[in-house]
Amino acid sequence: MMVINFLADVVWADAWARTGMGFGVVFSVLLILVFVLVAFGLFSRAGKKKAQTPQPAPLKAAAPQTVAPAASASDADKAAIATALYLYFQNVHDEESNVITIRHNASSAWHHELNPRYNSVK
Amino acid sequence: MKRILCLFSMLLLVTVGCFADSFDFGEASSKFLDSMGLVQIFQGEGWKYLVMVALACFLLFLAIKKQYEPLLLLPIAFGMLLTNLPGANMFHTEMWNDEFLNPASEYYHSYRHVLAEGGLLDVLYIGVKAGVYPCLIFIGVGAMTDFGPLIANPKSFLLGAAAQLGIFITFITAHALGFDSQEAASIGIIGGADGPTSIFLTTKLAPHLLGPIAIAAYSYMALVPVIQPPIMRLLTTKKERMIEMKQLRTVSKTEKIIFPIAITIVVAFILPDAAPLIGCLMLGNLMKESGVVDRLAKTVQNELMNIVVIFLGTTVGATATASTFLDIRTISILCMGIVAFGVASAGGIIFAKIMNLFLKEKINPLIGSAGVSAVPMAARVSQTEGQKANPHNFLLMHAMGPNVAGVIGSAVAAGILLSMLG
Repeated sequence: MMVINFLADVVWADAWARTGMGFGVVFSVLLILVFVLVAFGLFSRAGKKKAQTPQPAPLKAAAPQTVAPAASASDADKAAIATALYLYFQNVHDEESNVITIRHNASSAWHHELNPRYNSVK
Repeated sequence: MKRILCLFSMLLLVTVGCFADSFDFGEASSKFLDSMGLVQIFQGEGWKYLVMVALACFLLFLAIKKQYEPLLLLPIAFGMLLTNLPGANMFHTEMWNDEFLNPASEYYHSYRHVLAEGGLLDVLYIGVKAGVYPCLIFIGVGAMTDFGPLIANPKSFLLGAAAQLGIFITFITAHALGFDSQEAASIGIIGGADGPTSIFLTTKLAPHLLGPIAIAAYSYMALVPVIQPPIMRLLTTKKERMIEMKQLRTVSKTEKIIFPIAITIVVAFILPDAAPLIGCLMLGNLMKESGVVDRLAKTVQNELMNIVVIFLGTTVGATATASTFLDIRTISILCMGIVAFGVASAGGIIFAKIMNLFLKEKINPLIGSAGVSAVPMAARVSQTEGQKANPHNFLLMHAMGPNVAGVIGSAVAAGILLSMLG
């Protein structure tokens, strides 16, 4: 009965309008950000390509050098390594040593049992 | 030596007896007994204190033994314990609700009155009331967040947006259960799975619900690995869960530096109410990515963040007093929190499936559920579920995109709710 009263009291048109408008605005803002990032990525890649445009060859060509092929890993390997590193560093942040006392070292010259001054006091 | 001590004690007793002729032992005892918390528990509705203390101890158990978001749940639970110690007067709900927020009161919006008359937790609560702590936490969050996966795959923004569906469905549900618009918006934001954003919006729209909403938000965030997997399995086929995604492109440092500046400008131009949260998030990220202020970046990630977490957690817990928390509405808020999380996760997954209808390179729908913020827990759940279906699946980095997009999305949602209802 209470629920029915509540339902009757709500101005539904208002509530639905706010919901629709709210979700619509959130979606639109993030969609605009998608376009901004896509455009930004395009510019960035175009800039890189321009920078990598081959320069005219020098008059005297340098002696040819043999370049060893770089060891390459597959995409899956890279993903596995990236995931493992990410998880490792995420976990490392929260771990603490849990050591809250100084280790007891009986052989140290500072230890009171070896110190005649303390041994003499009973 | 003992004889001297005895003599001194006797002299002291005689002196006190001579000078304290106006001392009424009965009255003093009565006052002392009245002020005792133990006695207050058995007066009127004092039993509620006991229930709240028990609840605080249960939350402490969850934080310490079960390690459910301990960084925040522990101070929240202890704040709850402190505020419900009868007679301790560390936090005064009536000072905030009846005086500070009441336009008819002479102390309306008077921080001076709070500083003069308030307890320790009242004074610390000023930071929550003024919306300072959530923003400071967002600076730290920004400094710890890598937006690289999002920059590499901007489509992730849409998954982050779709996951905000939980906020708005819960908004309507809360309306149906009799909450007014401001309260419904504050409850709905739990679906954003972002603690600071929930606290920021609730302090502005429905401060009397801050305790239950903060506790629901942080408790459910800790329960993401329990809440999400059944929804993920229900809404996807094994074939969909097995989809392997192409490696993300490398993101340059320049892109990472320009990203926070561009996002701040675009979002603030469209939605100024979201600027405090987004601006602080991006400020922290710029500190990290620029590489020129390492000291500041480390400070906001560690010292500043930790100090603010202590203040925020304790004071938010302190708002959960017996009079405000032990209410049928609290139970409905906790129930709606689960609905919000579930719908948000489902929204992301379903939208990922819709996107797959149009995309050449299919995306694994499991990364859609990471669109609820809960960084990085939600992304880890996507990774775990993906690997269960296909051991060669590495979804973590793909899921981090929607995950951080969810943080931006929930801040934008808070901004739009604030502009409509604030």
